[in-house]
Amino acid sequence: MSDARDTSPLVLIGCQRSAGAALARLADEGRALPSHVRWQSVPCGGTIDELMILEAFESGAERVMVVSCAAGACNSVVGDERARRRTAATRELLEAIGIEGWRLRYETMAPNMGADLLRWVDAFVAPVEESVGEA
Amino acid sequence: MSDPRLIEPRVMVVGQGEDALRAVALAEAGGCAVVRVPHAGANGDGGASGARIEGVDGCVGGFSVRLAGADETRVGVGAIVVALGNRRMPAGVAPPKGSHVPVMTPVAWAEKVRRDLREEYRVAWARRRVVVLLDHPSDTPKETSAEALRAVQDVIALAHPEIYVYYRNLQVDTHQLERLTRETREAGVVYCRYDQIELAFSKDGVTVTTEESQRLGDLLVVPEAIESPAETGDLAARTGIRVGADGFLQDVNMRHVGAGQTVRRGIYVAGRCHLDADAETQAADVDRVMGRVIALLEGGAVPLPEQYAEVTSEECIRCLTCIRTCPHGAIELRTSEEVTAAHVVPEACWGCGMCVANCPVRAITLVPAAELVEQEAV
Repeated sequence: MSDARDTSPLVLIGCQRSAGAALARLADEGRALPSHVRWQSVPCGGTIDELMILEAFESGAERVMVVSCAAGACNSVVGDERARRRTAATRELLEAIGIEGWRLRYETMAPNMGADLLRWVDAFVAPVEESVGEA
Repeated sequence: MSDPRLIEPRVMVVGQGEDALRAVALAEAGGCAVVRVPHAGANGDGGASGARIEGVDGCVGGFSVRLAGADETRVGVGAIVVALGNRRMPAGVAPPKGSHVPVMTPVAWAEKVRRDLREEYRVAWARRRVVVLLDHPSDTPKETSAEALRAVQDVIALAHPEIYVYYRNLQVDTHQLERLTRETREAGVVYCRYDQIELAFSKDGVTVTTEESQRLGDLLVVPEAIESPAETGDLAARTGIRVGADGFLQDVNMRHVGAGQTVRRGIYVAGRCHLDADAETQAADVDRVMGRVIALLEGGAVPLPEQYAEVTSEECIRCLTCIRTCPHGAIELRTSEEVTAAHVVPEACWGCGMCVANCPVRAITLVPAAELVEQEAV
């Protein structure tokens, strides 16, 4: 469904150990993120805070995707959990000021999930009226 | 506290089993001085004997270990290797009273066949129907699975009973386990996979019922269960390393840093206390960890990580949030030039930035790669 593709600015904030490693692997295969996606690498999901996400929106992003390592796989033990909770808290902040919650999304991944990452980015569009929004 | 940049050329090996002995031998062969701490019976098993770890200060290259039950109460070491091993528990299958069906461990079974191996018994063994029961009531660890299959192989070489191996989740992900299953299958052993299994003991034998079949056996072989040592939790709390959901010690994500490294730099776990694998693979794990330890101690200085956190002392409000949050035990309170502030020990830091995100006064930054790498994807 190429006509459904949203090419407005998207910021992808991700842990260098999972999303970063996945992007490096994709680059080896000659694949890359679409040009409307800006990649922001962080050393660990635990570094991501509300301010960082809000700054991404402030910089002009229409959508922000936060990606951390899979549960239990964090090198710093609790980074994925912190990223998940901070993303959820930021979504509440966004909704409080009238920005739709679907514009902020959280995913977990392993370094071998580059293809999934590209798919998520493509599928990151406004929910259709009838369907239930992202939790 | 000794300066962490210079390495104390000694390694502490914690544990007293096969893995610990192997680690000690390797360290000595590699020219490292070794401090041995059994840390036995520190929790639950009663009668603590020998030296135990009370706590670990300092960081990689310059740990200061507080000991109990030893001549010295404080020992300086450059690295710590935890090789507590595991412990074997009786199998979780007990036949009812009055049952004549023998239940034995794989090793005991193979020994009995070997003992019985006189001409007249050979015929008797050939007529036996042996049920080898794996993954009951819970998954059998790879170490004892491999042991069971090796016993099967030994028995086939000696006599030719009918052997049925029941399994639910046998993982043949190591060379040894793959080879053992293949060779025993080729030698005529029948492998039966189950989801549900029922055992009924009668005077004729044990009836094994699964979704697909029912079979009568006259000997039941069940491997011992394996658990983490009772001291695991106590040791983890005293050294600042982690215990996984399975009760065994846990290393950090091994995809990034290789197996054996714990969340606290310079503290390693080796062998059975963190790994479910066959004996061969476990020994190789101890070898690999000791190789890394010897390389570290021979290096003479702890290498700095590519990225680490730094506290601006004047801005620190001493709330201790970072010390509580740091998953790697890399932050301590230090007083320098009459200013008391949190201090990140660079050599122990993983540069994860957890403290940066949590500092309420934003007094911590990541250096030298403070700026986050941003790139426009094409």
